[in-house]
Amino acid sequence: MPTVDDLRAALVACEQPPPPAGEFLAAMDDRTPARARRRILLPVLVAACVAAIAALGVVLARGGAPHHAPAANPTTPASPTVTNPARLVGVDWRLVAVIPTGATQPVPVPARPTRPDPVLRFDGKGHFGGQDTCNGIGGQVTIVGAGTIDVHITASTLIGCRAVIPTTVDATLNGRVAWFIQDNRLSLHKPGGATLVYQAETSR
Amino acid sequence: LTFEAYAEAHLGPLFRFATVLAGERGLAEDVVMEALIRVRAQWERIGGLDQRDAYVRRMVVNEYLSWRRKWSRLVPVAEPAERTGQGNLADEHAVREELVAQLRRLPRRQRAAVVLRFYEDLDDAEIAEMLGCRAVTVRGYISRALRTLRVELMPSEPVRLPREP
Repeated sequence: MPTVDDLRAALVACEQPPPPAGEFLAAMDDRTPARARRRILLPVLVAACVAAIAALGVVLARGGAPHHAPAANPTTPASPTVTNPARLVGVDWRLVAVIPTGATQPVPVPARPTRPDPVLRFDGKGHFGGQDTCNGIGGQVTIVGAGTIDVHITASTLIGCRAVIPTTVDATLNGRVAWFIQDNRLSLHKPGGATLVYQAETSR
Repeated sequence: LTFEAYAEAHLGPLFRFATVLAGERGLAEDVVMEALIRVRAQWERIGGLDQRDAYVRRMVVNEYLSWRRKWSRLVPVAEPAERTGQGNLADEHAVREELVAQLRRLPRRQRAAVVLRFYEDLDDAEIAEMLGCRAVTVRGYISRALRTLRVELMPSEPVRLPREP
């Protein structure tokens, strides 16, 4: 039977050295503007959602159904959206926020100096690859229609993560996904599920 | 003292504490970073506190306890196998590994109470202050955690267990 001394030793064994202070503080700077943006973004999102609900009401009152309703997405922009698949290709899309199923507020993806950036890349030949914040992932993508793709992760490294962000990414990137690009931000929304928001990082 | 100087000097101990508390490096990074962002935002006030370090540590604990609370999962605790340790290093290592694994499965508040008690050496009242609960609740957390971990208390160990109903 373990003793209290064993327990103390086990707790000390859990200690891990810190990352370099400089990198960590720089990562804090990267993250703070994202938090500030979130504070600014939230009222915009609320206004957009109200407008979307009003628009949906008008459509339903006219007896029709919306053909494609990106307005239902919590990241609905006020300016025009782009759903040309060619815009997906040749860009490093870095995951900046996740809106979990049922949530109304985006959760910023933390900058982790010790981990690779959670990027996503589309090769234009039916494949994508990148990181889900935990594992390297790769898979197939098929264009279904304007603003709709089918994605399936077919390969992944096997680091055991149960964190919310990678599991949400993996769940979202499996099946039919609605997407649009606005202001260099790519939103991937799984109907009835979560939304992933990526920022265009570099053009290749 | 500027926030940057403070953060640089205290990141090491704060991060080590967070890794013990969180049980995983990624979560510890998130928790410490969020806590320090909050500290920086209020540095004018926090920087002048008498109990500044304890206050920051409490912010780390609160950040850990509230971190994506609705997403946290409780993993069913398996009964740990009985060990008949012979006192050698291999046995000690095995016991420690098993305890580390069991610690990961504790509910967060129980784990926090255990870490604050046996790693930080805080007394019940101090832990209660940190966790925002009563001392009797702290004793309950620790009692349940130790029972789950099957840790044997020595007669001199100053942990008071609540009476069984």
